[in-house]
Amino acid sequence: MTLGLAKMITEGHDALDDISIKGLLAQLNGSLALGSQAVKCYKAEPIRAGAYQIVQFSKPTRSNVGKFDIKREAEEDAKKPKVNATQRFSSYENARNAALKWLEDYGFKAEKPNLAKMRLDPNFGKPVGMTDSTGKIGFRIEYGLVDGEMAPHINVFDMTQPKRLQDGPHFEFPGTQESVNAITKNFYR
Amino acid sequence: MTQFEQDWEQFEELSPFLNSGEVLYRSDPSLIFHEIVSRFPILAHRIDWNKIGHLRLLVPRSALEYENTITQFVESILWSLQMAEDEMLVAVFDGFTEGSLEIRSEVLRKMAHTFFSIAQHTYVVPKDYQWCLQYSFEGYLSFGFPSPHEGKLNSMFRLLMEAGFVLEMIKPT
Repeated sequence: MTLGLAKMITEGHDALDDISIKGLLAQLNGSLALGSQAVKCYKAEPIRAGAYQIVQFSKPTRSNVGKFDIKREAEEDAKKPKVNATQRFSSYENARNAALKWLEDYGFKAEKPNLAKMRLDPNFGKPVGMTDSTGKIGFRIEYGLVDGEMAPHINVFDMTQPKRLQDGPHFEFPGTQESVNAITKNFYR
Repeated sequence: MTQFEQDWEQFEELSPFLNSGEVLYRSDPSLIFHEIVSRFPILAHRIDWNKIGHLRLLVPRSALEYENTITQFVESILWSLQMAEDEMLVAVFDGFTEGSLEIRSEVLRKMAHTFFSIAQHTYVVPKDYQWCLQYSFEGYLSFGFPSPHEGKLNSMFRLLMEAGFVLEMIKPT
């Protein structure tokens, strides 16, 4: 079924823009696995329970929307995690390693501190993470609400992705605000 | 590439409103952050909503639900605050984009989903900072006042529940 979907998306329509396989998976809440085949042109939007329509991704118009209903098997939903789901780890180190693995898949290299803008002294930068040289790919370590509970976690982002698909999982680890403060002090240069 | 050009890659859907003057771009948001920090309780570079009480909604991720939920929620909030369509609000972003936006409330009502979908914390406040609507990186929409205001939050909570939103009202701790 998933290969059939990939075929429907990649064939019979001209490639139009740069939505990646990651983007498509996120649109589908990770419920379909399409392997490593790069997919361009279309996104899937739910039209009712278990069915999606495939829509031209960039500036869609009604005339060039291709519609396909795709049955989604409940077992597949249960097996596959949501793209931005929280992942819980037993330590900061394990969470950091998993977050870095996610980022490295997007070509991340830690090159400059990621500064929080919400701070008492606007002239004093507080690093909360790191980004690449462009600032577009990176992470921030925060103490905040995840899945209804306050917890330390690592947020990862890739701003080169389409909007709403720029964030990755939240990598949660045990600790307090003080733990986060101790970790982020290491980002001072 | 200038800061404006880099930021506007994320805000491009707002271009028609920039041209019409319904959205204004400001390059330095530091004073706005400073005002928010001086009025709202802060914990770890974020508003400490638990101290003041707030309404909280977890936004669904699917494409259709996402846009509809945000649009309707923002519309309901602005309606219950009796916000005039031409009132200018301020949006600041803790994350990749550097500038802030002044945005007509009518445009916010229509377009909030476009900048709440950028992977960063987003804060929308009126110019007198009497309330704040925040979209967090973790997918929560939070709304509250600078100090506990249980009566007003209660009435907004009832209104939003009647409108079909599955949200929580968190009392101050």
